[in-house]
Amino acid sequence: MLWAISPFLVALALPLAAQAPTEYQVKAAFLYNFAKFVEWPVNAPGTRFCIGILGTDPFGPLIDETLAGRTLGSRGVVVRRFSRPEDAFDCQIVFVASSATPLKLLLRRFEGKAVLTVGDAPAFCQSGGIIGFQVAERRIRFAVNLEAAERAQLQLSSKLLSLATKVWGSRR
Amino acid sequence: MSRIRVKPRPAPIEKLLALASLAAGVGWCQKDLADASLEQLLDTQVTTVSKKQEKLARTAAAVFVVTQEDIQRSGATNIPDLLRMVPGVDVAQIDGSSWAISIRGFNARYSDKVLVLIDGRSVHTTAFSGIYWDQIDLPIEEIERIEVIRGPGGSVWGANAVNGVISIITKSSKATHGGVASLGSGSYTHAADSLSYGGSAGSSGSYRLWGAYNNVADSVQSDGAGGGDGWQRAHGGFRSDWSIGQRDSLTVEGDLFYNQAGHTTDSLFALPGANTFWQSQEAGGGSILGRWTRTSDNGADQSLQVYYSAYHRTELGLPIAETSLDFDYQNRHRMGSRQEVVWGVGYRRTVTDLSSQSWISFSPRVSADALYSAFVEDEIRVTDSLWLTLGTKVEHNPYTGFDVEPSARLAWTATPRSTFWLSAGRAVRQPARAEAEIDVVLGTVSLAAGTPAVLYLLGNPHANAERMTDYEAGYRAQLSRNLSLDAATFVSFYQDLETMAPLPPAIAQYGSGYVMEIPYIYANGGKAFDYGGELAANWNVTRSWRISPAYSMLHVNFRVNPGSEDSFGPALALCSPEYTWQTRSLLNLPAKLSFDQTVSWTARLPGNGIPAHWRVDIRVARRLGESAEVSLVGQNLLQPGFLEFGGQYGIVGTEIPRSIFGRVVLRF
Repeated sequence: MLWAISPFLVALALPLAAQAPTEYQVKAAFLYNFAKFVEWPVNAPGTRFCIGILGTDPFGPLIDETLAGRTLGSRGVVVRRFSRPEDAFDCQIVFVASSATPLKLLLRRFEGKAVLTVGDAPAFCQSGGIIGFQVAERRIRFAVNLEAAERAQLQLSSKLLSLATKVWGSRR
Repeated sequence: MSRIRVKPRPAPIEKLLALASLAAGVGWCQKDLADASLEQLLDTQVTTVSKKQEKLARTAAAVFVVTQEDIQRSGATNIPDLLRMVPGVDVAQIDGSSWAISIRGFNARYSDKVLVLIDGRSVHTTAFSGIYWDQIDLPIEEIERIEVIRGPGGSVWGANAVNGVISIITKSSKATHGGVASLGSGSYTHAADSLSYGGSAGSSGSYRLWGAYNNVADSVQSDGAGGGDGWQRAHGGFRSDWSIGQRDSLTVEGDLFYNQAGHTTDSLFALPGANTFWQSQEAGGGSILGRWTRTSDNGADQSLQVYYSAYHRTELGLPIAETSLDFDYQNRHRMGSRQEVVWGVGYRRTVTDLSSQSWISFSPRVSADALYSAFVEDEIRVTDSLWLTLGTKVEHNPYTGFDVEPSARLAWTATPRSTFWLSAGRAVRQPARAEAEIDVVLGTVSLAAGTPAVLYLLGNPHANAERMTDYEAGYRAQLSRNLSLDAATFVSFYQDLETMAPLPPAIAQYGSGYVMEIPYIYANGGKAFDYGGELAANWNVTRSWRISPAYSMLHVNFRVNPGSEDSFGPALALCSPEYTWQTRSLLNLPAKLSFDQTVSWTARLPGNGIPAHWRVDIRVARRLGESAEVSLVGQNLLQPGFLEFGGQYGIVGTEIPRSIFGRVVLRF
């Protein structure tokens, strides 16, 4: 019966994406994008650009797919997962999952390290994180904690700051 | 690399188109997202897990939601066909305009153990304790989603939700600005047309007006004779939604309908030598509903709903008129940090007028029944992953007095992506007017020696409510990014099920001769022990192909009480299949095409001699530009026609034909 075989035949054709992107698909794209607007200190280690995920991974394999083969500057991008903050110090960007608690204590461990901490737990910036995601009217927004960025020796471009919904610790 | 299609600002028409394109499957490629600029990412709309969906994850009941995508791509032209995809729901078409639909068994035309709501309004007929599916049908474009809960919903919704609740939710007028014209025609459904238009009303409200016309052709009986069961329906309505201040919202909606149909009929219970004849049917009516909701800062909310509905129907020569007025108040608030309590009170007054004919009468003719109800439900967060919900409903109805329906449910979110749940509860079905007050001739037959005999059925004013105790367990999980699973099992004990008890026959004088009268009376002589389960899965095989298999199993063990001589009960109890299986496949193709199929298998119906059968439906659709879609649907493609249920209660069953149907949807 042709009808039974037909879906198998046409599935070989190029698939189209079926739905609006999910929250975490867009957040993954943001993580990659942020890197273009942040300057790390010159002596930052590593030949590869590392994006780390600390805690229970909310992205899944989609972040690896999104960033496969991508480069930032001359460095290839790699995604790694960690359960302890100290293992993540060599990454340039660390996404702190909302399951990682206690948040303030964890973020304090990153102080002084050149790591851009990003998260979506409530009050992420107020707890010491550098970029905090919110969802408003089905769109992703972000807020920036400039003081935390300065403590991490990171330079955030004014373009990034202008697109943030809120900036804590504005430049004097 | 292809350009990102950035979703436009949320003007109404673009929103509608975005929704339409979501349904048709055009969207984002993950790699493209990484190339987007910050501004483009900030402008991208996302799908998120809503609070309602989080709540769904820890619901301790067997729930199935027919989503907007399911509705658009099913090819269905009426609500019964939409319900076919729900595991555990048994849909069997009797003739062109009548269906037998039930959940977990006891299927019959006046299947009385399922509560059906449209936007919170109960659409059940108190005369016969059933649903007139032809009277409540809505155009497909009006329906947002259908939520089906299998198992007793007693604790919140009340009596007659014994085996489940089907809740049909229409689209909010806030989401439907602009016009939609849907025109369809085919070999069996000659017309299924609807037109709607919506817009803003003032600065904080919106409205939608809609109208629809349906025309279904005659089918055939199983012996090839004409079915005479074609029907026409004109239906129109409006919906308006208002935001009042920061905290209040109001919805007002209403509708009017008029149906004309026909049936091939025989006497109520087919007896040897009974003649069949054609009879017309007409029905008309309408409803109006208002619901006010207030949300408080701490997440508490309360709502008051009032509705009035009325209809007049003439079927098998019997005129029925029914009006209902219903008030319902609900209040939800937090108690402490661990509990959320919902409570409510309701009052419904139903007046039914059942005129007598030569062969049927009700005494009294007009009856005004008042139903009082109150419920309370407490959801307790025992630990972060264990939720206990205790609830009860108390009702008072004029036939059986007070009924108490308690329930207890436990949900354990073992992992963020899986939930185990258990529930136990009690539910009640109050008697219909017919069971208490009817006096109807079932038919005449010639006994040996040529003596005529009349069989008739009497109502029993002392009829009890049917009662049921139910224990369920289930598991719901997102097994991987592409596979989700929902399983439920149940064991149910029924008591006081409706049966017909024979009374001593008598000889009566009739004109110049004699006639034997053989009476039956409604009794509560049945018991049943049912068990079974349903399994449903969603598998995203690729990003553009989803397969949804579903399986259900039901074992009914029906017994009449010892000493009862009832002979009809067992046959009526065996009109649901023991096993059903189906798979739906939704496939997005290049060139804006989509290709969807449903393959289903239903086991035989022992009670009415229907054999097991397969059914295949196929839909092919193509979007034309941004605002139009054409589709072609083939239903029942495997055989020229088959009888799905047979006849019941005087209506002779007709076959569901193989048919083809084409539809154009335009948005403007």
